[in-house]
Amino acid sequence: MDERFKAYWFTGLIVILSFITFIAMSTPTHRYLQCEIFAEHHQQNSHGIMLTYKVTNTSAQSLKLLSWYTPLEGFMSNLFEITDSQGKQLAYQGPMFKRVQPLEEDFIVIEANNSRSITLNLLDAYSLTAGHYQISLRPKVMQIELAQGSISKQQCLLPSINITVDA
Amino acid sequence: MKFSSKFLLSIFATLAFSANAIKPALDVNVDVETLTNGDVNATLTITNNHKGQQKVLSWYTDLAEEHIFHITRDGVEVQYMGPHYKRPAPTENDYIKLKSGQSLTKTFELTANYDMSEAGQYDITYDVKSLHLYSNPGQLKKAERLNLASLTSNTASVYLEGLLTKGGTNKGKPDGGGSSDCIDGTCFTGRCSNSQQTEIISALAAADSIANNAVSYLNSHSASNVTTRYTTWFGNATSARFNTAKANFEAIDDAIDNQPVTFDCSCKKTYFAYVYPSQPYKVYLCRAFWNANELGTDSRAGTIIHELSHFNVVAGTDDVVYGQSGAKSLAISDPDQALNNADSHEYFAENTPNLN
Repeated sequence: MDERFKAYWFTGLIVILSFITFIAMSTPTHRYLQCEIFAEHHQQNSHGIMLTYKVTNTSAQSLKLLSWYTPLEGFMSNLFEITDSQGKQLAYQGPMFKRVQPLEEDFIVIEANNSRSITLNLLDAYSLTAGHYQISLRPKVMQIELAQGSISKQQCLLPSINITVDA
Repeated sequence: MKFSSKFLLSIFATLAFSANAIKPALDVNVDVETLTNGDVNATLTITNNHKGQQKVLSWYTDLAEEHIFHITRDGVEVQYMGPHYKRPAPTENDYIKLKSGQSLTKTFELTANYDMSEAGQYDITYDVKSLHLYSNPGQLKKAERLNLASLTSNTASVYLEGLLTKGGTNKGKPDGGGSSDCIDGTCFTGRCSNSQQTEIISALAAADSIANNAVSYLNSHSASNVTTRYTTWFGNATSARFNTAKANFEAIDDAIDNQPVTFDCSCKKTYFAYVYPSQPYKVYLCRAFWNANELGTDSRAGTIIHELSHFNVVAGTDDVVYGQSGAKSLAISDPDQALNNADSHEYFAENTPNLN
């Protein structure tokens, strides 16, 4: 192999490994919300496997986000797609609810340029053991209520993040 | 030890049927009535025949609190399925006071708390003797000697014909995991009353009928000749997507016809229902299910389709978006996710309003 290429490759690897936190950001294909998920790259199973979801109102107006099917309401549906190093998808162990019409309390107000975040323990809903995993946010439809009462729908399509779980 | 003796003392001091009463101060009567929907109501009347005021522990008067009835079917004890609470010693507030001549009347539905789905002669007695009021056998014996812990009634009898399925389409289905409370392969947990069991069996038959209809639609069409019924809920058809829809509905139909589905009635929340997709085939029914119609949009039959589609061994669907308008938009914007959305399957099966 070409020596110079090898050096680049090695430097690149070092740079990647030196990141403690892997951050994936959505490309804003919409006007209102931007989602992110991030997690410490190395985590210990015994401490819980924590993942943070953050949603930012990138618009200039206050809006209301329906919490349903978003990580903001916790594990009420299958939120993440998690695959192990063999490419096998982990089964969601939590519940799924069929609900009636959303109530006022199901909406979360996010002011302009503000964000809401939540940190979840993936072990509450998935059986992760030691190993490497690729995690992505499942593309749920987010319902956004704007100031004038009009409704906008948006999906967050994010690149996946990688984590390593130590026993 | 200090706690136990204090506990016992408080019983001595305040229990209604006290040691020095020669004849029972409280008279207990039970009446039983069978309703046309299969439920059984027991009316409990406790009357104070004593000269002075009497007190009775409030949880002795509530089936939602304690195992207050002793029920046998053809002489064999019927298991109580209600809650068992571990309580601290009763305080003054835990007693209901009855003046001389005053009585207390309460009616309880029995089939939600006792398995009364089988045919037979049921004998029902109010009996609080078996309450675990005393934590050790010595205390219990002492209380029994002093006639402290017993308060019983007459025995009311009723003959029940047992629950029968209407169609009997599920005969030969395996039962769901050892529970005896099953009718033709459909099982019940979480204290489903007789009327609830009958309504579930009926809703399941309706779900079977709309699932069969969905399967026959998919068998008589292909990706190249789908109609508005398909495109409204699943969007643009490719042969891969169409085959997914077909496989999903075949699996849903198979679950209804051949798998041991268990329904749980313990949920009191506002949801329609919920499942754990990794735990087939148990469906938890909640308040909105009982308020729904059997057929039509967001109906009982449709809810069963929705829930069964979630199981990983069935169609492994998720909740991507809720409601008809959400599902319609999803079909246009993301047909693959529509095939991953439980409501989209429900609405396709319900087909309300009717689309060709």
